[in-house]
Amino acid sequence: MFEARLGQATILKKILDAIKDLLNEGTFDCSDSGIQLQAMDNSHVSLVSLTLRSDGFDKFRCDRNLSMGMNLGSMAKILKCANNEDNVTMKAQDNADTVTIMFESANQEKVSDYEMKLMNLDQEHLGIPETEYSCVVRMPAIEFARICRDLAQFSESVVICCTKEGVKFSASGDVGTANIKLAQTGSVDKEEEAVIIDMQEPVTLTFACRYLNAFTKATPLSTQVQLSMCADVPLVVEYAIKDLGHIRYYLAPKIEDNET
Amino acid sequence: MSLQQALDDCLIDFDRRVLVTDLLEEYKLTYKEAHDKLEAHIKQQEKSSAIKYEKRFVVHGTLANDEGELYTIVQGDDKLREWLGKLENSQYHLYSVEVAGGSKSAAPIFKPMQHMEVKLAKVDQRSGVKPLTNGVSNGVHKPVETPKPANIKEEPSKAEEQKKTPPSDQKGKAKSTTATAKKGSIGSFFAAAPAAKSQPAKETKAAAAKPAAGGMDNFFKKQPKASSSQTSSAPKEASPEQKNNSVQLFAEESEASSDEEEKLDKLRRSVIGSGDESDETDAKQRASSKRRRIVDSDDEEQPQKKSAEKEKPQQAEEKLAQAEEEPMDVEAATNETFLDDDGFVITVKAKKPKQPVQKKAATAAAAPATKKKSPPAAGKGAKETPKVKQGSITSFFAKK
Repeated sequence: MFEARLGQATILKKILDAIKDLLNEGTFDCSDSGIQLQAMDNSHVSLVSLTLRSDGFDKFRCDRNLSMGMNLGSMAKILKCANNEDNVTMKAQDNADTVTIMFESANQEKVSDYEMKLMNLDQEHLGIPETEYSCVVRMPAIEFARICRDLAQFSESVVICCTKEGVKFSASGDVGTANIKLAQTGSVDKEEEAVIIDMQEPVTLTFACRYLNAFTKATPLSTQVQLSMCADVPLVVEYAIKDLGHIRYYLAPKIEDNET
Repeated sequence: MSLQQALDDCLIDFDRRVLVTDLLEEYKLTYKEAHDKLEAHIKQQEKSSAIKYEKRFVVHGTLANDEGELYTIVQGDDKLREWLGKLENSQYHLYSVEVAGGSKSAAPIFKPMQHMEVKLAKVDQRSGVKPLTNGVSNGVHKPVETPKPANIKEEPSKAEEQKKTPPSDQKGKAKSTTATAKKGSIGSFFAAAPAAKSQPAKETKAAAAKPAAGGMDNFFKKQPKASSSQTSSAPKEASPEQKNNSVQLFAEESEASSDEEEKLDKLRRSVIGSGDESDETDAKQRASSKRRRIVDSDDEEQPQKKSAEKEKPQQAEEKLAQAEEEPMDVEAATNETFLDDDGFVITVKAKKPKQPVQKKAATAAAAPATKKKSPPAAGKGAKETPKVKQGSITSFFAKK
């Protein structure tokens, strides 16, 4: 028996919105420690890793490890039926082929439940090694979203260059070039507006704008985003989900084409 | 069942107006019998149950100053006496009875009977007309419609007027009303469009309807066809339906229009489809007058016309000379060129001088375009970044 209850459906809605553009389907692995989802996008360029800790739920029960393959578009549709303040409960029997998603209004006057068919997804799980990243940048999530959106107009690729002075996002295309520099903030009253750079080594990497823009769909989940970079290693874009876990996106960098 | 029995059994509802004529038809009685029985019954009822009845009488007589006969219906005994005094040779009969102050709506005031117990002057019985009850029925009424005598004052109700409209009109009305009445059917909302289609289509209507049906696709599809058939003869003309509708409209207008209007035509054409030669060619095919042809050629030869109209013969010579110089182009040119009886050149030859202009324009357009493109290209060349390819995430993370 699996049962997980969240106080606010809006969180689950935002999580689904953050991943459904990249992933059509995904397997939620439920265990007593929480819920995890790991999946690559169709083109195998990026990887999504979602972790929801069990202690972040209002109620969490998982008698046996359970893998629930779901169509994320369908799940997002169901979640749209919930009000933001509704309690949401996911329930599934062991070896069940359906999952029940139940919404309860705050005053318990309205209860609606939806049953969704589960899928058997044969998805590869990748082992993500522990990595010491040369540069870790923390910055406002909205600012990152804005930068990605703006630079996408110039080029398909964005060059992220992290140095001691700050982090620079560049794009060059037919229109011209665009450079956005963010310096590390000295002292900021509001933590969520801070730009903090933890740098061991300067790093310059090129990434596809399209994926970065897809990652920024998670912006509503968190005020800050963390970019972890290391030479020849995928970029990690991490959004913390308050008191519940995090969503991490891994993006393979663009590499020089030696053949040409 | 006899009338007396029906009256005794209270089968006749006097809450609504009961017409004697209906009783006559229902019980196949003479007027006198019905009148007597009904009057006796009413009197008896008035005595026994103190029910008051409202009676109407049909009065017939001649007017005092010999203005002719008069039939009228009067209400109540007082009025009856009054009218009887007015008329000469007057006679009356009970026409209708109802309970006084009856709350239910009354039957039509005047209802001549179909069963011709009473023969009215100049009244023809109309056959096959469905009786109309005006929404009122008392179980006895079987009102039938007969035309009202001219000298009877009572006006027929609106329902009767509607009924008297010719059956052909009624059919049309019936269709529309039934269509709108069926609220449940979605077809009732869209019935208007097919009905419009079924109407005899005038040319203009057809032209107007065509774009809606075919849309811009048809418009554009026709262009190449028209241009290819530019030199085709008149019998090969496309059917009016296949033609460009805008051209039809303008062509019709322009045939009877003045020169100024034709200029406006040209302007309109150029606005609707600038560079659309099919318009002109279609118009040309349709035009029969010389002026029309000249106008067409003018459309294409406007620059020359403006510069010097008198030079046209010279131009023709020059073009012939050019044709000699350019044998490959001559074929096309001669194919599209012919001389009018008056020696005017009515051809697509205008295109010949136009083509080089177009080429020049094309080259002129191409040149700046390449120039414009060159700066970014140069910039690219200078700042050319090393080509990159997108790596796969699987090359970084091993499968579990």
